Amino acid sequence: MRFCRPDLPRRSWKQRRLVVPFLALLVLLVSTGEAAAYHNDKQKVTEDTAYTLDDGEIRLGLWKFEYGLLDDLDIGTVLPIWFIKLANFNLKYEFWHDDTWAFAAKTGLAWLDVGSLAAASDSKDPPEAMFFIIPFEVFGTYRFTDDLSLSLSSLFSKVAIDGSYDAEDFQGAVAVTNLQLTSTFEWRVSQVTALLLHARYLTYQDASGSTMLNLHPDDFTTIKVVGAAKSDAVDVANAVSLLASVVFSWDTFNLRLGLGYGNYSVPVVNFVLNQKLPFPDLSVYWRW
Amino acid sequence: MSPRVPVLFLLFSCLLLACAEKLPEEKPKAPNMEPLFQDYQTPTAPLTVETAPLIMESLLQTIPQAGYFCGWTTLEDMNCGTAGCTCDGITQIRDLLDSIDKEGTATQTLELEPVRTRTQALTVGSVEVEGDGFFAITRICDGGDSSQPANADANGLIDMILGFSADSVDQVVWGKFKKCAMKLGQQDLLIDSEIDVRWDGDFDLAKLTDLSFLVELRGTVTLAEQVHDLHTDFNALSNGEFELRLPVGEQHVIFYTTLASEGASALVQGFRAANGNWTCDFAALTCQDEAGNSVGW
Repeated sequence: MRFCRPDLPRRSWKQRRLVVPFLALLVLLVSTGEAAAYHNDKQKVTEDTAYTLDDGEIRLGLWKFEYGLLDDLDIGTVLPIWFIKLANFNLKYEFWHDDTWAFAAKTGLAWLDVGSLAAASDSKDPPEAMFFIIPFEVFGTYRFTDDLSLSLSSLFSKVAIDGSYDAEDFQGAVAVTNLQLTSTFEWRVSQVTALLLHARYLTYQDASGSTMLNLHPDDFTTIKVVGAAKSDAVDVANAVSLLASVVFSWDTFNLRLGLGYGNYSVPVVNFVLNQKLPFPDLSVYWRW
Repeated sequence: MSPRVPVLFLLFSCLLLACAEKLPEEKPKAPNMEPLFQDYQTPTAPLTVETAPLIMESLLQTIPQAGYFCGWTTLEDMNCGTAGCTCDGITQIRDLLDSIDKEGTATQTLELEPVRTRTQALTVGSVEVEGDGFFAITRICDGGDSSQPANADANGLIDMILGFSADSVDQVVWGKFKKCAMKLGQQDLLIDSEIDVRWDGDFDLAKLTDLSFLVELRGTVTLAEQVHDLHTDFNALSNGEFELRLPVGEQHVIFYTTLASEGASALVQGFRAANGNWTCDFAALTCQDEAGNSVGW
């Protein structure tokens, strides 16, 4: 008997080529290394706090990969968006800490070549545009007791699109910047369970841009218009959200579940939506 | 930890955040016309029996230079009628600015709301522009015959820049006539000159004739294959009055031409000098000030 391999589309084989080694790496990593994920003094929640991973520690989940380059310096990336060619990485640096206080700063860069994405989807006239996201966040965490802590952060984000929207006559650049303030209250109920209450407030959200446009009012005249623009049209008044989550941490495996309500801040782009909606919090990851 | 880590982190962060919003092209810097404007407000030379001949000599030298641009050659054939004095070159500049407000042949449209109190809104296509920027206007000269197709190589160009900011349209428009072949008055000219224009009034593209224009030219004009120097300035006021700055040594007076009253056919010409305003009868070679004092030459 002969078994014929089905004639699969090329794109599917590409995805398989990425997924297989990814899973292999995952299994390899999980099967080695020490258990390191219980909530304790050494292993703290790093999300929305001033804490970082330990030197050599890995956090790998469905959403993120983070690695402790040094004791106080992490490098990370958001994984799923690589599939839509949104390359990204971030750096988090815990620049000061003692038994009670910790302070950190985090920055990063994400970029997308819109043209290559459009070209890959066989678009006939792909725009030449680059999409950039640049966040900068500072954290402060205060530990009341071993089990209680409060973290505050200030997140400034800039989303910029630079390029040509119309191949012939129009070029432009648009950027949306915003400033968000967050607070996270953590209660370690046990070694396995921690409760989190996360609040977010949008200070402002502005759009700005620059345009260059060519006009031809008659056969003798050409007018090039170069201008900058700023608008608060994307600003959302009284934008707040509240998220209650539970983080379960076992041997290496972590599960975070929660439910929030308010003006959702879209991850990675950090753009705050206009409407108040309920939203889930789901994260699965391993730490070792 | 090595101290290099925090320093590098900070530098890296600053580099990323330094992606400040800026124009695709840097906004050109307009020339400063305030000193010239002040000269027109404050003449420094007096009109006296001693200075009158020098002033007349300066007038006779300056009139033809401004005339190249405006379409006259002598004091007598200045284009002053019932609506005041007109200058063909200023008409060309107004027409060029007016093209900003026209719909293009392309799908993009430009809307510029009239400026009443020096605020403006500008919509370019579907984008509302409210900040800094500029118009770069290029017009192919018509060689004196607008029925012919546009030909930049043969007839040259006019390039002008008009800037704007969040609050207003910038007050100076400037640029160049690049070997521009055109007809001004009855003369076929080739103008190769820098030009600065300071407008005054409420900027409204629908009413450019309501603006005064202070013009400075620095270049040459070719007429009948003869190249002439074109270094002059003049002030075309919205009320039809026309002013010329006349150097008198290191000082200057202002020559003016206007109508005696609306609808009148008689021109009133004279000088604004450091010692007052003078009305002149050039045929009789006399001028008289508001106090009745006379100067003749």
